[in-house]
Order: sequence, then C-alpha cells, then structure tokens
Amino acid sequence: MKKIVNLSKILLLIVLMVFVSCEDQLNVKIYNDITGSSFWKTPSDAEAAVVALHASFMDIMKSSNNQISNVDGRTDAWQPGTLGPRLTGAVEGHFQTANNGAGNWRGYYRLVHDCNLLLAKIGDIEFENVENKNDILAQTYTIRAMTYFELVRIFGDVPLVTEPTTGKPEPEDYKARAPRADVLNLIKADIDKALPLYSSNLKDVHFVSKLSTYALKAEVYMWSAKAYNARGSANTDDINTAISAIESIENSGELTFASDYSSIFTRDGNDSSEYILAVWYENGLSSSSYRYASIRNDAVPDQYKVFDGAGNIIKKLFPYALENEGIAAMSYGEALNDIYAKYQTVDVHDNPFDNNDDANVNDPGATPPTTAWYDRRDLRFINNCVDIPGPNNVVIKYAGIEDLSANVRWWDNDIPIYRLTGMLLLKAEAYNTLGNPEAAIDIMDMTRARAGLAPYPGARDQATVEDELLDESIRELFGENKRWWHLIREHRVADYVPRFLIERGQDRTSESVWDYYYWPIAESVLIANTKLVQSPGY
Amino acid sequence: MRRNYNFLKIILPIFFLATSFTGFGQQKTVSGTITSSVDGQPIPGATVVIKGTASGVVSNFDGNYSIDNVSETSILEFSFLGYKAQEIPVQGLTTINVVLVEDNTQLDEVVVTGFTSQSKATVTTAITKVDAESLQNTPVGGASIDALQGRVSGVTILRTTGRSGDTPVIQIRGGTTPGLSGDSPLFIVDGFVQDDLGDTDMNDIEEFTVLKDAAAAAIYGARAGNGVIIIKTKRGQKGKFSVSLKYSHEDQNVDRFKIDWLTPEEEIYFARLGFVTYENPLGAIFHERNNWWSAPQAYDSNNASLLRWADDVMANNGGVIPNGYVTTADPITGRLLAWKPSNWEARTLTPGNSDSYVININGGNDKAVYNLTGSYFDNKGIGVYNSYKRYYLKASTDINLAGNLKAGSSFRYSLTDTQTGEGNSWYERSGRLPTTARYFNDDGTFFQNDSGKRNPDFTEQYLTRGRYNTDMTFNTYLEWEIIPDLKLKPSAFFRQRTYSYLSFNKANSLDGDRRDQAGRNDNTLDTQFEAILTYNKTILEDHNFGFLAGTSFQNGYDYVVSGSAFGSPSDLIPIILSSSPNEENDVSTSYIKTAQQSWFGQITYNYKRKYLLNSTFRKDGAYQFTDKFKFGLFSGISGGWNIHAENWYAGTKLSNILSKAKLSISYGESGKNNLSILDTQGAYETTSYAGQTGIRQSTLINENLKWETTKENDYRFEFSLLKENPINLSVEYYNKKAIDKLFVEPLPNYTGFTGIRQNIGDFESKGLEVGFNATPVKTLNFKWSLQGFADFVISRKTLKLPENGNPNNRIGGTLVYNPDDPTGDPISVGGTAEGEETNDLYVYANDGVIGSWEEADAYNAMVSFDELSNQRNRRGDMKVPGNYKWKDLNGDGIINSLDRYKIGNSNWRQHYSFGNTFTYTSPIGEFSLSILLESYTGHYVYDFNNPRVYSQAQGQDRIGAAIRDSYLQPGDEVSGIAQYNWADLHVMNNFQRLDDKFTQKGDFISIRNVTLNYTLPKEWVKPIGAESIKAYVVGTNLGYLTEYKGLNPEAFGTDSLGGTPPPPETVSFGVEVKF
Repeated sequence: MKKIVNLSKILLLIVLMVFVSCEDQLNVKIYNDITGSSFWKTPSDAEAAVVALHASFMDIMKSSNNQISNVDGRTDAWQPGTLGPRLTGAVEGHFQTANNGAGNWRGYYRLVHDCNLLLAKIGDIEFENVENKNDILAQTYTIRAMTYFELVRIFGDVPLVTEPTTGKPEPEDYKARAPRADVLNLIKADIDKALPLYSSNLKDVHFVSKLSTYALKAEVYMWSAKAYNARGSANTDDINTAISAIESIENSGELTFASDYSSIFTRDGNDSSEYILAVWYENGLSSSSYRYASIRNDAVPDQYKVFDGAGNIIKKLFPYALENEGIAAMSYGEALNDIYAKYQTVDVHDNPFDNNDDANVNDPGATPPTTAWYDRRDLRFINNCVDIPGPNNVVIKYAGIEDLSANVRWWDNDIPIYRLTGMLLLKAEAYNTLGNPEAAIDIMDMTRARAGLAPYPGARDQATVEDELLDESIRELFGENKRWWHLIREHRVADYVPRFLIERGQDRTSESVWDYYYWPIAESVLIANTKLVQSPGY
Repeated sequence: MRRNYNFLKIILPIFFLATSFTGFGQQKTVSGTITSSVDGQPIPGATVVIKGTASGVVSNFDGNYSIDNVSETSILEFSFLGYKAQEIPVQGLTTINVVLVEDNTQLDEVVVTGFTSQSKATVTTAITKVDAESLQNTPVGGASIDALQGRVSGVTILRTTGRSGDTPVIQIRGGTTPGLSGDSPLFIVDGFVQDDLGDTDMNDIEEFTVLKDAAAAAIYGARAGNGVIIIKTKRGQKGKFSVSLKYSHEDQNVDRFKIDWLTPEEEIYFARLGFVTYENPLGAIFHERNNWWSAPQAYDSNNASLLRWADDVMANNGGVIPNGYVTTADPITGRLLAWKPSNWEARTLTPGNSDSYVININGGNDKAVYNLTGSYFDNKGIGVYNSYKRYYLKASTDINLAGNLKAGSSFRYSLTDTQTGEGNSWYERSGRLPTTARYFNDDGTFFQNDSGKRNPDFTEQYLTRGRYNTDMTFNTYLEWEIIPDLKLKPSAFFRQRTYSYLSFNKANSLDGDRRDQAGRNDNTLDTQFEAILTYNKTILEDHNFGFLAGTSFQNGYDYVVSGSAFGSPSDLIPIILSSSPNEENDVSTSYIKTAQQSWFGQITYNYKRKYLLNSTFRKDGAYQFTDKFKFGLFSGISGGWNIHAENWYAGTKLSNILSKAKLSISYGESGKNNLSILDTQGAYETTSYAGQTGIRQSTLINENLKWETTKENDYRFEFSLLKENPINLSVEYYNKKAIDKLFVEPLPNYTGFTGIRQNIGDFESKGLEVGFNATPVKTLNFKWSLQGFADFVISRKTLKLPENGNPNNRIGGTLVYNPDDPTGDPISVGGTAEGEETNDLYVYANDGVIGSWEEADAYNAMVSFDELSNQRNRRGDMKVPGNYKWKDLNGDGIINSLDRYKIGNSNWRQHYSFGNTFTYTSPIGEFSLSILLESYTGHYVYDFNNPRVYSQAQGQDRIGAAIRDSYLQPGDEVSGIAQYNWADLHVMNNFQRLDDKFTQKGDFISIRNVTLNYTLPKEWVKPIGAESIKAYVVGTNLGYLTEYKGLNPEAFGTDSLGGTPPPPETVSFGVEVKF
C-alpha cells in the first residue's frame, strides 16, 4: 500500500506536467525546406537565385514543347515523324487550338516572378563585392527581358508584371494584356539597365553575359524594326542599333568564327569559340533533348552502323532509339532536302534508300554503292540530317555520343541560343534590309565557304538576297529555332509555310495576317483571369 | 521531450509486471440442465463459470452441463446472451438445474463515444458500432476496413483496386470535399490517433465504432472533420487458457473484367479490313504497296506482331510453317497469312488466391488477462508478379495491480512484403494487346515489350519492385481510481513505421543492360502521450453525471533516405554500390517533424435515462499555423429524449405501435488541418543547372491560414415497432457544412504560380439516413434476422467561393453551349462553383452511324469539326459512311466542345444495404447463412474500356466482339457500332469523344457478401480435445444486378481498368479450431 501511495505521488506529478501547456513544442524546426523567412539573407542566396533563373530559362529554351513544337515546329524546317504517336499538333496542324496544349504562359511568368523577386529582395542583402551584385542584377534584367521577348513574340499583347507575386490579387486588380509596344519598351529598358552593370564580357557560355545581352538587343531591335512594320518599311534606326550591338559582340575579342562547322556542335560544343549562350546539357538529361527526332533501331540502314568481324554492331553513327523503345515523333522537313541540295558540289550517286529518287525505289535490298553517297550535299546537311528509307528524316545535329559499354546514347550536346554565326547572318539580314545586299553576300560567302560551297553565284539584288538569306540561315541554323522568327521578320510565312495560313482559314496572299501568327491562350488561362481576351483569330 | 521519456520510465516496468498472473485449484463436480423461462426448452451454449476463476464450461445441445473441480464455497455463474445472468452458491449440491429468465435490458449495449463508453440508450450523437462477431469471417485481404463495406449507413467504402493491402476509398457522409476523392476519416486504433488503419489484421479486431456527426467527432477536434472510426482490437478475457487456430483459403477471380473479344480469326479479318479504311479513308481503291503500313505486321508498329505473309514465314523456315503457327487467308489480297495466337489477357487477369493462418491465445484470471494474436497472410494476386504477404503479431496484457490500480500494455507489429511489377498498365494495356502480338519469341523466351505494355512475365523475370513495410505500435496505460468513480488514465503510445522500397532491373536489352537501381527508406516515429481524468456520479438517485478532462501531445518524426543509380556489375547485386554511376540528384534525405497538442473535456448528464445531455470541447494547437491561428476550438452539444421512458407513455395508444421512441439532436464542430507548414511559411526549392545549385520560391507565403471547420446538425428519431420481436428503425437527417475549407485557390497564370492555399470555401452536404433491423423469427433452433439502411443525398454542393469575377465564382470548368439560348454565348460549367455540385458529366450527343454517302454528304455539308485537329490527319474533317454523327447542339455548323450537354453526375445519390442472416441449430451442429446486398444509384459512368477496344486506340489493341456487328459498307443495316478503322484514334475518331453512347447510368446492386458458417456440435469435437470447430464458406462481390454495359458499375467517373488489378470476386473457405 505504501508503494502505491508513492506511485500516486509520481502520477500526480505526471498529470501536472502533462496538463501544463507547452506552446514551444508546437514551434518545430524545419529541416527539409528553405522557408520564406530564412531566405534572402546573404550574397550566396542571391547567387543561388540567379542560378535558378538560368535553370528555369534554359528549361523553357530546351523544352520540346515550347521551342521545337511551337516555334520552329510551325515552319517547313520540321515535319511529323512517322512512327508511333506523332507530334503533329504544331507541325502538321501548324497551329494550336485553345484546347490542345499550347498557350499556358505560367512557366514564363514564373520566371518573371523569380526575376522580380530577386530585384525586389537584392536590396536587403549586403554585398562586400559590388561587382558581384551588379553582375547578378545585369543577368536578372537580361533574363527578364529574354522571357518577355519570348512572350511578346509568341502571344503578342501580354500582361506586364514587374513586381513579385505575394498573394492572390483581387479580381479587379487582375492584369489584362498590355500592348506589345509597352512590352517591347520594358525589354529595351531592361537591356539598357543590364549592359552597363556587367563587370566583364563573357564568363561561361551557359550563363547570361554581356555578350548575350548584346545578342538579345540585336534580335529585339531587328524585331521592332521589321516585324510590326509593313514589309519594306523597316525602322532604320532600330536596324542600326541592332548592327552596332552585333559589332559589339564581334569586337569583344571573345569569339572566333570556327573553321569547321561540324566542330561547333560536338559533344564539347560548349567550348566552342562560337557560342555566346547555350543550354547546358549533361548525361542523364536525355529526355528533354532532341531525342524525339531519333529513329527506331531496326530502321537504321547498315551504312550508319559499324560492324566488327563477327557482324556485331559496334557503333551507330546517328541517334537511334533503344530496342523497341524510341520513336521518331518529329523529323526535319522535306523542304530541307532541297534547300541543302541547292548547291551540290559532289557527284550525285543514286541513293537506293531515298524514296525521292526513282531508280531503285522498288528494290530496297540493293547493294549500297561504295562511295559515301551522302557526301553529295552541303557539309552542313551531313552534320545535321540523315535522309533514310521511307518518309524517315532523322536529325543528327545534336546526336550526343554513344556509350558502347553501357549501350546508351548520351544526349548531351549543348544547344545554342546565340552563337556568332547566327549574329553574323542577322547582321547580313540587317544590311540587306538597309539596301546593302553586297555586305550580306560577304557574310554568306563566309558561311558557304565553311560548308564547302563556292561563293554565292546567284543574282545580287535585294529581293533575291533576302530569299537566299532565308535559305542560308536555315542551312546554317537548323535546329536553333530561328526560322519562324526570321520568316515573320521578312513577312514571308505565307510563302514558305502556306498551309499554316490555309489551315488558319486565311488567304495566303493577304498582307495583314499578323493576328494569325500568335498562339492562342489556353482555356484554363482565360478562365483563371476574367480580364483576358483570347488571342485574335481563335 | 525530456518529460516524455521520464513518463516512459514509469510505464515500462508496469508492462513487464503485467505479464505475471496466478493459478488456482479445486475439488468436486457439479452438473445439471439449463432451460429457458420463455418456453421451458433447454439452452445449448449457455456458459457456466466458477465465480472468481477462469474455469468454466458451456452447456451442450440438450442444455446439459458438467463442471469439475468445484469447491464447497464456490459460486456458479450461469449466463447466456439475451438472458439475465444468475449466481448460485454450490453449498454441497452436485446437481443444479437452472431456469434462465429473458433480459431485455441486456440489449442495451454499450458503445464507445471516444475516450469513454456510454450505454447506447443514453447516446445522443450519430455513433454506429459494428462488433466483429458479425464480420468474423469476411475475407478482407489486407485491408480490414473492407469488412465494413455495406454495414454502416452513411459510410461509403469503395474498393477500387484488387491489390491486397491497398486501402479503399472511405468516406463518411460524403466527406466534406466536393466530389468523391479523399476525405478519409480519422482512425483511432486502441486509443492511438492515426490517419489510416494500417495493416491491422481483421482477425484481431473486436469492434468498429463510427463517429459520424461532428458532435460525436468533436472530441477528436482538429483532425476529425471527416468523421472518426474507432477500432478496438482484442484484449484478454477472463477464462482458462485457450488456443484457437484458423486457416482459410481464398480464390480471387476477375472474369467480369475480361472483355468480350472477337475470335482470333475474326480479329484478323477485321484488322485487315480496318487497314483498308485506314489507308483509304475516303474509299479509294486499296492497292498493295510495299510500304510499311500495308504489310500485315503494321498492325503493331512495335514490331511485336507475329502476323506475316505465310510464304515469307516459310521462306525463313525451310519451306514449312513453324509449329504453333496457323494460317488464315487475308481478306484483302487473298494471300495466306501465318501467325501464332497469343492471349495476353489470360496472363494479366490470371486468377489469384490467398491463404491465411491465424493463432489466438487467450487466458487470465481476476488478477491479469492476456491475449496474443499472430497471423500470416499470403496473397498471390491477380495477374503475374503481384503478391502481398503480411506477418502480424499483437500481444496484450491487462493487470490489476491493486484494488484501485490497473495497468496494461499492448504491442502490435506487422510486416508486409508487397511485390508488384513495373509496367502496371498490364492490366489495361498489356492485357488488351492483339491476339497477333507475340507473347513468346520463337526461341521460347518472353517477348519484351515497352514499358507501356510490358510483358508481365518479362517483368517478373527482370524487374524487381518490392515494398517492405513494418508497423510497430507499443502502448501502455495506467488506470487509477483515485476515489470511487474518479479515474485517472495516463497512457503512452509509440508507433514506428518503416517503408522500404527496392527497385532493380536485371540486365535486359530494353534499357540497354543498365541495371537501374533505386532504393528508399522512410522511417517514421509517431508518439502520443495522453492523460484522461473521468468522474461519474449519480446524485439524488436520478441525476447521472459524467465528467471527462484530458490532454494529449502528439509528435511525429519522418526521416527519408532515397537514392538511385545504375550499372551494377551483376544481376546478383540489386543494391546500390558506392561505385555505381549516378543519375543527377541521385541521393536525397528528408527530415520532417510535426507536433500537435490538445486539451479536451466532456460532460454528460441524464435524468433517469430519460432526458439526455452531452457536451464536448477540444482545443487543438498545431505546428503548421502561425502564432495568430495556432489554436482552434471545437465543440459539440447534443440532447436526447427517451420518450418511451416517460411514465405516461406506457399508457398511450402510441405505445402499442412504438414500443420505443427516442429523439436526439446534436450540433458540433470538428476540424481539419490538412496543410503543410510550408503553406504558411512559404518555401523555396532547389534546382540544378550547369553543375550549380539554384534556389527559387516554390510556395507563396500565407500567414493567414487557419483551421478548416466542419459544422454539423444532426436530428435523429429512433423507434421500435412491436414489443415481441421488435423492428428497430432510425431516421436521421444531417446538415453538414465545411467552413473555410483549405483549398488551393487558383491564381491567374501571370502570377507564375498555380495557386495558393487558402481557407476559401464553404461546402454543404445534407442527407437522410434510414436504418432498420429486426429479428422476425426467433425460435430456439432457428433465427432469422435482417438489417439494412438507405442513405439519401439531399444536397451536396459548394456554398461559397472567393470572389474571382466569374459567375458563381467558378473555379476551373469548361465552356458549353447554353441550352436555354443555343445560339447565344456559351456558358461556363463544371469545375467548382457556388450552388453547384462538382463532377457533372458533359457529353456529346451521339447521333448514330452514318449509313450512306448521301447521309454523309448531307452531314458534311451541315457541320465541320474543328476540335481534336491533330487527330484528323488522315481524313480531314470529312465524315464517311460508317462513322458516328454527333449532334451540333448549338447549331453553329461546328462540332466542338461547346456541343456538350449535361447527362448527369458521377457521384452517387442513393446508397442501400440489405442483409439477412439465418441461423439454424440442429443436432449435427449450427448453421448460419448471411447474405448482404449493397447498392448505389444515381451516378453516371463513362465507359472507357469498350470504346477503346472498338477503336483499337492507336492500333495496338485487341478488338472487342461488338465489332462483329459494326458497320461494314453502305447498304448494310446500320448497327449501333461505327465502322472499325485500324487505329481509329488517328483516323476518324469515332470512339474517342466522351459521348452519351458510352456514358451510362451506373445504378447497381452488388451481391457483396454471402457467408455460410457451420459449427460442429460440442460433443463431436470434445473427444479430440477441442472446445469448438467451425467451418465456413464466404463469397464476396459475387455479381451485379445492373443495366450498365461497361465492366465496372462501381466506377464513379471513368470506368477504366488502369494500372492496378481490378477488385476481384472471391470465394473462400476456412476452418477454425479452438482448444
């Protein structure tokens, strides 16, 4: 009994302890995540934030949805593949409806928010090294400008957001679409803020630098000079601004015109002296690369395989999908075969695997000729494309490298956003627009020479050179997502992608079809914001 | 924390102390007969126990008993269910005959109301108790909660998968979220508060108690907003040491999920014809071209088809058709085709079976009782590589330390081993591969298909996917009666769970012999410390008071390590080596802490058990909230009136009709705190780019988040008709409102975020529940009892949403034409909107098959299709004979998503259950048969399966038998099924639209459970030393009564087989021996 009394005392103690409130127990420490109150304290926070801006921006730039399917995918540079579920939405349909896919700009605006948040918070952080802070600011302004430049080109008028999101706005404060001119003004202002802040020209091609800002500036001013003005009435001030931005890049001394085209896109392309800004790839990032342009293993002709003595394949010369797995969802456009073949320099051997030639079309078993028949074209074609039996066009521009030991292919080529030759061809376009086709031809002759072609042999008037520049640019820049914007700048979509406008219900000869170039916004985007109106024409 | 461990130091010794108990010994034998006062007949199965001991016997079929070792001073206790127990002192007698008197008050059972229990007669809230007796032999695979299916009104339990151990969807009174998803109730297992039932074995469960209304659930406060299910597992019972063994075997069958297919020959016939329509959609002449799509194997673009030209096959095989191949003439060219039929579905929907072994040990005396349950459950599930094993152990002791001090503890452990293959879409995609798709290669190895339609046997051979979960709960309590009726009960609970996952691909060519490896270990510790003080007092004879006060702390720790790599040197090494190459971000750890603190109290009062009052409150604090909203207060009040207990009632006319009548009313508030601390504090996430780590905001800060509250009114009238064999009925109306619901509120896309979690809406759920039970026939050897319920949804809708500028503040949704003004502006429907229920189904109006070119031309002239444009690539938007037409409801000449109308809703509106049990006692033993029917009505189901096999999707599916009657050519009699095209999805899209042909009423009656129990007579089993032997046969989900034409009327929404095995029909038998 005595023991029980003692026990009772202890119990009473427990009860007292248990019943006493203990609020600090509810303030748990968070180990897993960085919370709102723990971030934006030190310069390294800002550095990590600017890395994240690049991660998000590059994600947009490399995503097959945003770039290939929706931008260049609209042009004649691409066509749907033939196997499996084909990426037909953008390529074959050449437009998106409000309901199927394109048109959600949240990803772009997330990046805008991240930029705005960094700009709003960086003032709270003390930097010992002001250069460091200025470089971060310059990169942030540039990425915001690049993001808006994507938005304004894709959607036209878009909401203009310059403050970070802190919560839900009241419906009456929702943002409507701002005029595209206002968006362009913000882009230009951001570029002007960024340029003086950089401490050096170029540090790492995977990150935004002063040279990328110049490259952006050149594209922005070429756009404002030509895209919204009627054909033939470009704004010459803007064009001259673009030319001087390109000259700043050339004069920086950081870049050299590569001597060998194929070396630019090798696995080590990131070291290429031509690159200004490129999406960084590494092993294991295969899923979002150009893999969809690959072809099934069993469709690969033997020419593209290297065999050992026992008949085992020891190497494949271009992307193939793993056994039974991959599918070519998109391939290069049939039109490219002709554009590349325009200046043939090598004797044409009949390609028994090419359905475009007639001699052996019914005899797929014919012995391949001993000469490498594919040498017949522009060297850039050999680097970028393979034309194989059936309607299978395979893109090999970013073919990665095959790891025979693991039996995998690493799709790790960096994908350029801006490179020197692209800027030079843009300058050629600028000169030609200003009525100086000879200067444009000089530049084309440089790129032609590198491709193994003789100097430009054709007519040298402005109109012909404009056509030629469109051809030369896609030959050079295929897979770099420049053609759609180029066609728009020249007001030539109707000529080169007629079915785009036909499917949009437009007379291809109509001059004023700008409205039909914009993407629709998704129904969900419309429903979430009552102040939005659908893009014209949808 | 320190305090908690001190607590443990005291409790632990008590547990070990509790494992000792004492013995006893006596002298003579007493025998006699036990009869009933009702009809003078003998009572078999009555219990005779020597008072104060565990020693006892049971009367035989003739009511005779004989008990040994009785001392002169002993008192014998005679009892039988439904009769008043009697105590008779032995005083030298050797024969004692007893007449037991029927006891009506014993039917007044006790129910658990949370931390305490109450007589059912004084309960004033919506509480339903189901004791496990009635569920005893229900085969429930891994999830014990399945046993409650169709047993409790207001409780919806939907089994959506056939994988053992998967938790079904459980909702009480429709949950508080619009729609049928989530809203699982809170579980209290032996006092421990948890979010799921875990792997508790049904054989260890003694009773379930469901707290349905908010007044009842309020005692569990902030987590009880979806209702509460209290589970009591078995504890020791006084009595001699006993052992019972139980074995059961179950067969699982999913035949009803098999599709009615064309025969293989027909399939080839239609597949080849379908090629022609695919190739020449507009009716041009078919001509053989040496292109990939005209070769026979183009049937499957994955080169998995065995369909070849016979002469090609022979050419490769020395001029003969290989063994196992058959030949068929190609209906197009007349050339002979050679192929080998495969039946993939036979492998994906293979029957399963399981075996269960249970041992239960029980015993104890006045000083201490103990109970031990151990079981092993082994399920080889549906299909291939789908297994689940569970080892379960529960041990408990309860001891009397002294007259006023009790202690007890229990330990529960389960280990589950779940093996499932990667490529879970077997059940749907692999199982529907065409009959020409090869299952075996010519050399006998399994054909390796891609991950979307994996070969199940290949998966079993090469891909390991194992989950190993352990769940260990230890709890201990002390109960101290400080003064009479004042009890203090402190208790401690520890629950440790581990969740391990191992994934390994043996070298195979599909993934380039990479030998991918992944592993994860999730270690969770939850603790709960609780102290409860109760005081029951009756003053002035008739005023009965009960008080309860308590407090509880809960802490959770969750630590996760996971990693992945590839490149193991051998198939024998599935684990990740330090030298294995890694994928990006291959290793991660995570550590999460949670904490909650609560105080609660309850006061009950009744006057002569006539006027009843009950009130509870609970204050909860939780770590997720900012200081401003850290604490929430929840309370419930309820009152009741036992009308039949009034003195004046007995004399009224009404009392002749209603032998019992009780009214009760309750109002309560309970809550939900289903959010993360990061929702209040905001979060940043890391990203990686160019070898550097980036950080960006991932969750917006919202410091104004608070508890979600469920407010509920409940009105109940319980009454009994007739005095003899009464029919008990209850009618209950509830009105439940969830206020400040925690939802993710969508943000305009330009903010960059999908949404921010807010307390944004109010939601209403109203319903009527009618329950009844009766025992129409009850004689000594035959009993028929029945029970059932009907649940009616009166209203289920969103009341309030934040202003967002849309009509009804609609969130999400879609546009359709306005039926009141077809040519006017389209209207916004669906999503979530004020005044509306969610899950309305909007469908196209199927207008039948086009029978002729004239009809096609007329239709094409009238409408065009602007939707699904990326899928009209082969034929433009022209419709040809054999295609479906859809009505242009808004008459704008375009068939698009605006032309949809509301056909119904995918939520059910009525839920019925009806059960009958027949018990017959005969000289050869006792037989009992029970049949349970369950029914849901009012919902619409979109049949996803049939359109898929009629359309053959992308050209890689088998073809359904309905195609036999499909349209073939103009002039044919037009059937209801459109013309078959190869890969119709890419051609004409006849079957891809969600239309009213494939959206049907889902009303069904399910034969949920049929159980036949047989108990052998005592005297038969005694010679072998057993106390009892029982055997049973049970069938579950035996069939449906429905007009629905798809596979599963129990799909609320889309009826699609998906990636998990479908719920099987089961037949099992078992035998239980008790010593």
